Amino acid sequence: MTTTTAAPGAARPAVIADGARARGLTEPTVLDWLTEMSAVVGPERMLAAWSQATVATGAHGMALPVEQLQVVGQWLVDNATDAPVRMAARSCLARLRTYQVLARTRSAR
Amino acid sequence: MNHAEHADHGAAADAAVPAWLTDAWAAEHLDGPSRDPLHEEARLAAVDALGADDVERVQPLTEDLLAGVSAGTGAPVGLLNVVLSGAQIISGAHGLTGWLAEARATPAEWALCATVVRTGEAYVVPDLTADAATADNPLAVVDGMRAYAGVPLRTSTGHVIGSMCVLDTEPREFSADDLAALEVAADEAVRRLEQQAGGGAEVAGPGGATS
Repeated sequence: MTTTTAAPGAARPAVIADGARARGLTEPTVLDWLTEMSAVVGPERMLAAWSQATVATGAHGMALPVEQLQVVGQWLVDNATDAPVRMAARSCLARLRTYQVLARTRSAR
Repeated sequence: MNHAEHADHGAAADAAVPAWLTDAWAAEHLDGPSRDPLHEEARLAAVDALGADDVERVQPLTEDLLAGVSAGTGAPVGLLNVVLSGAQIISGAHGLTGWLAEARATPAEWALCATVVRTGEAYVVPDLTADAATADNPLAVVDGMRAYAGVPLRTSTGHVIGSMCVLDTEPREFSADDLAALEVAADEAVRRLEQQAGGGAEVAGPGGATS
């Protein structure tokens, strides 16, 4: 978060944050995605699909950057044989897209 | 949950299946399927069958309806929102600007239309900042939305896949005629989606029955 410099005599400086932070939206994590998918299909089916996706994409671990998370999510959307998993992955990708768009914007609070 | 611990396990995993990704881990850290209607498999299958979360498909199919409800209710924004398990997709939009027009999605926890899906009923908030359920919603606090009215998008098989809604930047009441106009437009939007998708006959209803 940064603070703008006000001109002399101007109104109080506006506090500017990126749009995601201003709205309390945090960067999605692997755990967020596993939790959402598990809520739809249960942990067993989620694990099966996620394992396939990580093997196929080579994206292992819980600390994936959003770029790799996006690759795993897109693989699931394109290739998962479990249709509800594909839907949950579409949802996760939509949240990620929202985060990415907002992170590029700036908002006065 | 120790993220660092699992991250280390993942980084060390050379095997095809990550070492941390086990049934035991899942049993410890994750719940089973939830009872939240947003997570219901059959409802999500209905969304999938209709392609209702495909913005490029739904926008041209519904923009006249959304322009109509916007003009009819006097609200500047009309939306067809499809609610997935953790996000709502703004599949159709009239009057949308800024980041919402670019992202065409919001997190589900910001989605007023998620309330419509959960209750299966119309949801009206004349002043988002004065209602305890919505006063902290970023769409109100940061984006300046003040009034909302939404009605269910109910498929012929009975699934509520989202909501057709209008939003205003000023607090206001919505009349019975406003809601009736939204309901007519929502029904027409579903009819068009089902017609383009080849009918809803193959989609199981909430009780498992097919139409």
